[in-house]
Amino acid sequence: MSRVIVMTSGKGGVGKTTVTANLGTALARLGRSVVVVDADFGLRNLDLLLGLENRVVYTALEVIAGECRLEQALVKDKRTPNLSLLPAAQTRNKTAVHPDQMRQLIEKLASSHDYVLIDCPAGIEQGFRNAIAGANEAIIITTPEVAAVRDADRVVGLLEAAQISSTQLIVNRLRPDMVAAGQMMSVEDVVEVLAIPLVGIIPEDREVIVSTNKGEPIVLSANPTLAAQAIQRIARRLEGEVVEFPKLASLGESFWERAKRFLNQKVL
Amino acid sequence: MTGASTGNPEISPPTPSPDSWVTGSVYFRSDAQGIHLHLPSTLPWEELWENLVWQLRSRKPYWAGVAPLTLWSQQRELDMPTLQLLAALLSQHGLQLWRVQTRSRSTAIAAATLGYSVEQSSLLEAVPPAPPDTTPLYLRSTVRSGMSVRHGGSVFLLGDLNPGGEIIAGGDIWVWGRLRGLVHAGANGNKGAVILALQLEPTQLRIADQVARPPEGGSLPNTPEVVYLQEDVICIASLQDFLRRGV
Ligand SMILES: Nc1ncnc2c1ncn2[C@@H]1O[C@H](COP(=O)(O)OP(=O)(O)O)[C@@H](O)[C@H]1O
Ligand SMILES: [Mg+2]
Repeated sequence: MSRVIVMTSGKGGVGKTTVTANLGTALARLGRSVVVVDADFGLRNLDLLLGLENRVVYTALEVIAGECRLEQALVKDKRTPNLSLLPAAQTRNKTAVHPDQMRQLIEKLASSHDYVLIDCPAGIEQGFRNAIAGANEAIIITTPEVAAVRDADRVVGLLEAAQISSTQLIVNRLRPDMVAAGQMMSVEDVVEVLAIPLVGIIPEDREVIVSTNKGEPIVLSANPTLAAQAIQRIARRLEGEVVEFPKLASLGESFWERAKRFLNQKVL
Repeated sequence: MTGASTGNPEISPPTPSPDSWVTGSVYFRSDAQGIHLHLPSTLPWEELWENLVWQLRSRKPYWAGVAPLTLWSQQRELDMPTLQLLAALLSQHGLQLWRVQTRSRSTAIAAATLGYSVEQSSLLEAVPPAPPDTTPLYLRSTVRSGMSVRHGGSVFLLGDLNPGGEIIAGGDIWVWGRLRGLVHAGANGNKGAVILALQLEPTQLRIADQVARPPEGGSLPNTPEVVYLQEDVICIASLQDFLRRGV
């Protein structure tokens, strides 16, 4: 059975596209066949982050409109043989797509891949509804900020209403020094509000920005940074491996104990 | 008493009209004929669906066995696929749709085609508004940001009320968890209503026509607290102190 996971957040700019590109790459490097779907119609940039922009010919919209076959639109990543991208249209209106059409498209992709990762647009409107239409799991990405967590909480509620069975959490751009100084919400604070299982913690990392500009996912680096390692661990956790959360230098013991507990906690 | 909150007499909360604040949202009531589900006619379908799923999940632990359900859909036009989806959702939660009360002709036809008992009232006919349900409402769930729970009676929540979520009740509001959102107890004007929480860190508190923000850092960590009105001032006391001064 293939897994269809929508990567969503509510708020924009928290790292959905970054994590989708890197997690897709990491899963493919574990030997899985992966397709990443850009569902951010009109504001596509998953192709940019993967360095595939100049290879995009057709997009999901042409497939939906029946103007090309699905295989024609899929862009294969030469560096990562098991990974392909279904690009979004840059131009046409995102409301032109209907959730039923997305569902059909995703179903087709699921039949030929182990993982389908859907990069969701920000917001909770039509674009969001399209992106979640074909998904059976969700990963919520948030930064440790009050506004991002508030939006994430709203999205968890909407996913529950859409009866998506499994929702897990990634906290991105964590700065342990700021948490220790009491200037940033801790992962514990975030998990306490959202009450969903934690699947990953990604620290703030300058390399992310550098790699974005180069169009080269950080997980491909020969010397993976802490953020890259964190994403590789998320991939292994998705594969069912039990991977410890490493201690971030300035965070205390009790915190990790509690974080682990939340890993197994059921969503209310 | 552990400290009065910053009651602000200049602002009074919007007083919802007794009908609109409950009947404007999705709500359930029960009588001898089973359970009745009322769908407001104006709410957008997506919002309505979200609210309905949430209520079904949250109330499920308190419904026993399979219960027959009457759907009151007012003027809303429901086609056959939508009715089927609705019936499937209800049956997942132990409720069996058997009757549809509607003022829409197309809904009546769809429901009859699917074999439900249909009662159609014309638009002109005065339909008596269902009395707001004042029996206690028990919920087991997290009330997340953007969710609004409205009920004519008291609300007992086993779970957290998150920031951005709200509970508006005609009676008391008891939160067996962390209360971080907005609560309005005694929303019909009942000044005797109280708010109780295991951990009180609210965004805003309202009782009857009074509004208060919590005092800065005023909450005692991990102590159940009670919020009540005393001579039109919103007060907060630890549960112990509240009980000691006499309920
Ligand atoms: N862990 C991180 N460390 C540093 N910068 C990050 C991190 N994650 C994301 N970013 C940066 O944040 C910005 C927004 O990321 P993006 O993935 O486009 O967010 P979204 O898709 O949610 O809008 C980008 O500039 C990206 O490089
Ligand atoms: Mg994005």
